[in-house]
Amino acid sequence: MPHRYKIFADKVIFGTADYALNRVQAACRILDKDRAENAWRLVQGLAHAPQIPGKRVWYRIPHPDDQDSFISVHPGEYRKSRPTSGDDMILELSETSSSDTLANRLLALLDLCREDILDQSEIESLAIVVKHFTKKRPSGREGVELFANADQLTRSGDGNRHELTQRLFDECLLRYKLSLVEFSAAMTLFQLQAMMGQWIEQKRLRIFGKKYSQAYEDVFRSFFNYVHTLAASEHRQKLVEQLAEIGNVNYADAAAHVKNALNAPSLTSSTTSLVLGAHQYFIALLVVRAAERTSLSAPFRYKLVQAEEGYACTQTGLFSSISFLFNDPDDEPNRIARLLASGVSERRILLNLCSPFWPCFTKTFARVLIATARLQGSQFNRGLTELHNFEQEYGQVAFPQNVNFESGWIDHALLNAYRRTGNQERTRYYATRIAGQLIVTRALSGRR
Amino acid sequence: MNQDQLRTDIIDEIGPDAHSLYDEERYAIPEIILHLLADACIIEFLKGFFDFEGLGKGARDRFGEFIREFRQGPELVTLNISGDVDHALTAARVPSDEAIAEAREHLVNLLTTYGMHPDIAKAHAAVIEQSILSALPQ
Repeated sequence: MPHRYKIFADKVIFGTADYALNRVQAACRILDKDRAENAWRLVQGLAHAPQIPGKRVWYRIPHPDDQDSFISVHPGEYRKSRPTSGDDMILELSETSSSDTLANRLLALLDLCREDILDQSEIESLAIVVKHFTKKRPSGREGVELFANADQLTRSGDGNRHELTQRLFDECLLRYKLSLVEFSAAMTLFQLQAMMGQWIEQKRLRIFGKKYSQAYEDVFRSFFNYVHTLAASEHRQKLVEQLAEIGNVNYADAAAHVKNALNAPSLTSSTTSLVLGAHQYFIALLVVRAAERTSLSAPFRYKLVQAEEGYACTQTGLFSSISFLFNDPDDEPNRIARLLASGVSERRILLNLCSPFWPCFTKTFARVLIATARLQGSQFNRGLTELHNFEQEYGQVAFPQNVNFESGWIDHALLNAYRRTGNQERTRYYATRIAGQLIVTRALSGRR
Repeated sequence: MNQDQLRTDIIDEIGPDAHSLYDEERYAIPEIILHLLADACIIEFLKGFFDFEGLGKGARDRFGEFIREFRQGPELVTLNISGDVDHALTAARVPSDEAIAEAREHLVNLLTTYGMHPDIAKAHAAVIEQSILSALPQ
């Protein structure tokens, strides 16, 4: 019987479906299906990396189109060359359970959303992503066609580039019609062609059919070939300037998006900022790589390593939500409680929960997690007071439906806290409140 | 704003530019480097208008030593200077505009020495300056 993946170990926290739908979908659509599954396997492998006395354990990460890279967790480091010291031990990523896939987790998410999400269009959107992960057939055709159409309208002067760009963002990136990395490459190619005034030749679909750009079908190859071709032409100097402009603008904006995500009023609203941040860091690294491949010396204001780190950290922030949501909800507060008990400062804990290096949660929710952790030890009363303060803070936001999950989490934590102290009146209050919210939501979604 | 919050704000502001010092390979920066970089930013800014010797005998030398070692490569730094930095933040006062301009120059200089592009260093310095000034007693 296949293993059934459970969100929050089937513990009921109101608003979980909203947050999970929003964040897991975004995390799964950063990379194309196969790469996403491989990345998930890597995350799982690293989480169970052995600690061998006297040895530093590395995992080899094979790249079909490039040289292998190597990653170590204790201490964290990533290398593009094979570690060779006597203490280094290189392991292959073990085959994880064949059922431990993102596809199976997405199926579990779809089940939960069918019970708890009111907006049918959101469920349909998720169902498309699930289908993409569970079928062998490649997807993304619709996104590719949207780019080809925007390309045609722009090169012929029949469309407004700004409006077309906005539509591509909404449809392809935020509605997941392309993976984030494919979208980023396609957007870079589209913008660069328009900025250069040089377009890749179109083909006819049929002998007498309309002309159509196939450049977005194998978009990475098209992009690198385009840069290579222009670098060898009289447009070389202009290409250098435009690549630098694209890179510098995107690198600066990416950092701003990640900061917005950390300071966002809710976890769900932070997702869009993180997606945009990852997208722009990816463009920043893509144009530097293209310049390096063609020996172009462009005036970038950042090094490749900075863009790579920005992208890797933002991707980690999005990906971390999958582990968080598919574990017991008490796991994270338990981990934080252990750190607090061992004397680790709150500042260091926050750095690993909500910083540009680990943008896993918003700053406010990271503090909610720490307050929840305090309930387990000698700081119980402080944790309780802080949670009530956050309860009040989230109760005053302009759009309470945006913080359903945060409010649900606090209700759950307070219910457990009052149950532990034997305060029956407060226990009954929070139990009734949670049950009421769930009954209303499930009744409404059931009516559809 | 407390001193820990100020350091957090500086680390958030610098973000992946903390990797400016590194070139070829991707390294997960040891967390301590981020905290040292934040302290270095505070010291470099304050030294534009604050006399560290006012914190006690030898304080200026301790700060000077810290910055000298940090500029050689932060992994060499072993001095724990956070307590002194906290003292300095309590004792310093918001200076004149002229002194702020000089302090900003010190900060930009530190960040460019750390490997940042001058434009990025200036952008970070402007934000860090505001964070430090708002942390000082009026």
